Amino acid sequence: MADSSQEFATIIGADARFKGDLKFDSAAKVLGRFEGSISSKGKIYIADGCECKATISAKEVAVEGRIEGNVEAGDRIEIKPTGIVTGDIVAARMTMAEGASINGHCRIGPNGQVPASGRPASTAEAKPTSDSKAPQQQQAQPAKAK
Amino acid sequence: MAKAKKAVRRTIRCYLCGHRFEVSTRTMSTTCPNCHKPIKVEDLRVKTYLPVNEVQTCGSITITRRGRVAARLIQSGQDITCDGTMEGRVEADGDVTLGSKAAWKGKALQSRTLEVKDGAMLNGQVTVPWVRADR
Repeated sequence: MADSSQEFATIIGADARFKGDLKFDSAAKVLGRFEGSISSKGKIYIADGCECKATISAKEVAVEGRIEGNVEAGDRIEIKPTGIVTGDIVAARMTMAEGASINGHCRIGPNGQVPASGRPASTAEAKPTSDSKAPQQQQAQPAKAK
Repeated sequence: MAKAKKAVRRTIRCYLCGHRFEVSTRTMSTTCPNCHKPIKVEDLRVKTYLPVNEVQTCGSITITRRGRVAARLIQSGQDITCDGTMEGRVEADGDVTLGSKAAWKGKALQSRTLEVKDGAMLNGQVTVPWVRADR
């Protein structure tokens, strides 16, 4: 407990119900129910048992509870085994543990990745160069010399 | 007296029709008794560039760090472990693990569980956990 209070300048307790917009300059820990939007220049920690129907924007986000809404992390997002995220995620880095749940669009990479909106879909659906009709033709091709 | 070797079999699920049946653990490919289409059973390991329409197997798929798969569909009946690059729709009945140097771009990634190591890159719709519907 002492560690939490030292690490998190703001703690929203487990029995708290909050609706609205919150802005923090430092780290915050949410244990109760929250609706609205949260933005922080520091770290946001969504604890186990917390239900957040909110848009979250922070430098670092750690999810152990449930989030319904988009999450944007400037640096990293960590989804722990009990974490559930229903919404889009944009972050420079992501760590996801086995058992966590995600249902939404993810853009993880340096600078949030993908400058052009249509590029990733077209790139992913690129036509293969080899003859695809040949069954069992899944042999690896030699790597191109750089 | 020679000992009779007990046949070791495992249950697989056809990725075309969803039919479950038993095969020997040594089987690399077979014909589905339900839809009568050839299917792969072996584990696939991709070490270089592999541009194909579909990468499908009832076994597991491993993409090494230098491996790159560009396909419309990457489908595994077991786990997918990626340390390289994947492009395309990913469906795994088991677990998907993206290493720290892995990158995935596609329309959708669906698996039972997903583990993402710090440093991996993702771009697409993610649905975890996901269970394939039986046809």
